[in-house]
Amino acid sequence: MAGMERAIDAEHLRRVYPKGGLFRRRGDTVAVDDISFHVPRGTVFGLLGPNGAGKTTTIKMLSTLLIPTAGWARVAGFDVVRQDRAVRRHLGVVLGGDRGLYGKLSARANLQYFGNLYGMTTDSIRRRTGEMLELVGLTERADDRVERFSRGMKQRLHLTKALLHDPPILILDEPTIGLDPAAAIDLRRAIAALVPRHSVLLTTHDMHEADQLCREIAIVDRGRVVAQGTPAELKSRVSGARRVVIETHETLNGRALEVERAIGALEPVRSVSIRPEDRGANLTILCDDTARTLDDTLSLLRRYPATIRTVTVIEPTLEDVFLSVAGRSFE
Amino acid sequence: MIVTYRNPGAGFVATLLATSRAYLQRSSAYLIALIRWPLGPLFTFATWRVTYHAAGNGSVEGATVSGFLLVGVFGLITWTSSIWASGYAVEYERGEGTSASLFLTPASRAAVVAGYGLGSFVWFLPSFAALAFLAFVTGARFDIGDPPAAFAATVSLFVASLAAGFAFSGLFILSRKANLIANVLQSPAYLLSGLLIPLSSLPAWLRPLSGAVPATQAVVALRRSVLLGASTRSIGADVLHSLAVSVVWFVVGLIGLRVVEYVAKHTGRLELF
Repeated sequence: MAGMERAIDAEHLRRVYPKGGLFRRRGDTVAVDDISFHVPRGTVFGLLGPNGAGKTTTIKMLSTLLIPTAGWARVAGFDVVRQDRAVRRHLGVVLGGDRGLYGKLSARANLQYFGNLYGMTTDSIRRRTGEMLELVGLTERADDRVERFSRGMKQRLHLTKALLHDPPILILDEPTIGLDPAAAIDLRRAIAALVPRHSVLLTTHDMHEADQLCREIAIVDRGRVVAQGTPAELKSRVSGARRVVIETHETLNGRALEVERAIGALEPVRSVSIRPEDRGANLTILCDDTARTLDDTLSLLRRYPATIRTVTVIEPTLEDVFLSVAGRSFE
Repeated sequence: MIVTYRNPGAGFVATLLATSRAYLQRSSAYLIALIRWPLGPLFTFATWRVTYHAAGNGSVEGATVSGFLLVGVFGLITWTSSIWASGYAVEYERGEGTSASLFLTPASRAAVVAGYGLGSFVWFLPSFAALAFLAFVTGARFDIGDPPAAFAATVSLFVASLAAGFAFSGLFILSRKANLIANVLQSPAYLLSGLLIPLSSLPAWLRPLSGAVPATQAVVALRRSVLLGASTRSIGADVLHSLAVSVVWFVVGLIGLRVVEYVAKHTGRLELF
């Protein structure tokens, strides 16, 4: 790790899952098509993308839980396939979801056990367990069984577990998913405080979180990196653009594609996406000239016909970057 | 980076002991487990004691029926605890939702599997005590002429059971239905190892298979050393036979664990287990 500028290198990672049952194979599912990125040391790097984009599969390959079908990756300078044990020593991972801790054990017993699995000595386990529980505010609940913890407390304990052996690199997979807003803010603060001592790879589908925490972001869609840069660089791609969100009373059933094509052909429109909702449809349009786009779109919608429920104009965000590069909205 | 063990052997032992401690803590969280484990072997003993009585047998291979069954049920507990702990280790982790957390650590998988076996053996210790008491009450007679022989036979039985647990740990993971495969293999293993029946009653064509089960000769050695006063020298061949078979099963298990982890990561099935 000494003198290394990059904490993580990933080059042309690809992961394919065979489809089918025991006796019959029915083609392949491409979870990650071609993903390359580099995480500079001492920074938070974000993998941003919608559900199913390939973020979790990518971090499973980086954390040695999956072997890539093609491509290669190094973590702390170690190859994730050939030097997997060394990778695991230098890595702390928080996997998304509610599981990964022993519910019948206390927080302290969980940390003690995982400390042993990371090869820590008894003294270092005792010292770090106390320090880490204090850091995340769980000292008073240290001897309670984890099954009685709230989701936010479990997530803080996951972070503690990942930090216990003081790894130089951390991978956090959707760490704030399912948390209430206050708990999410607390956890984001804790993540921000990890750098520059640790290098962090964060996966998220929360634009605001990525914008707030990451020095650099790779936007992932359908198993590929579709844009990469600092949040400011990414947003500059849509500078001058505005997002217009129109909600209609009608679902545009059967005609959504036709409407999408018609709006997409309008001159000031950069990209458009139509999403059906419970009662009506949601049209998200990224455009350069708001007034003209609104005029043209509203008159076009009257022809179908579609009556307007609400119209909102929004400043550009990372979501607009995604809309611009992926050609569809984030959800 | 934090201080870690420089000696891999010390790290292995620490992982093994930590896993067995965690196993005991988790097991003792369930009241039904506290009740069930001591009672199960007692019921098994009682059932077989009544069966032998009904068949009119007062002794088996020169020993009292109770003494014969005491050693047999002791072997059965050791064997079962290893199969359902070591063999089942990764399945337990999957059920708990911690298999990914475990495989993310650099810990020796063998140490974890062995830790499950050790934890389960300790968990069953109260059952051994209760069983010994019941055997005494029902007329078991012991003749320990050479305590080191009894000790060597006991150790070889534990090693044999652990070896079986290791060998099955990979197989169980691959099956993705560990409990079904464990159940299927349980009865033939009991039969072939002569835990509850005399080996001499097995048909001749089954005897070679019986010898390939690591616990078989360990149970023979234990019976001879604690019930018939056999010396270390006279049970030496049985103990060595058991240890040799155990080594083969250990090696198969270790290779199996490695292959299974690789295959699981290659096919993306690790967390589906």
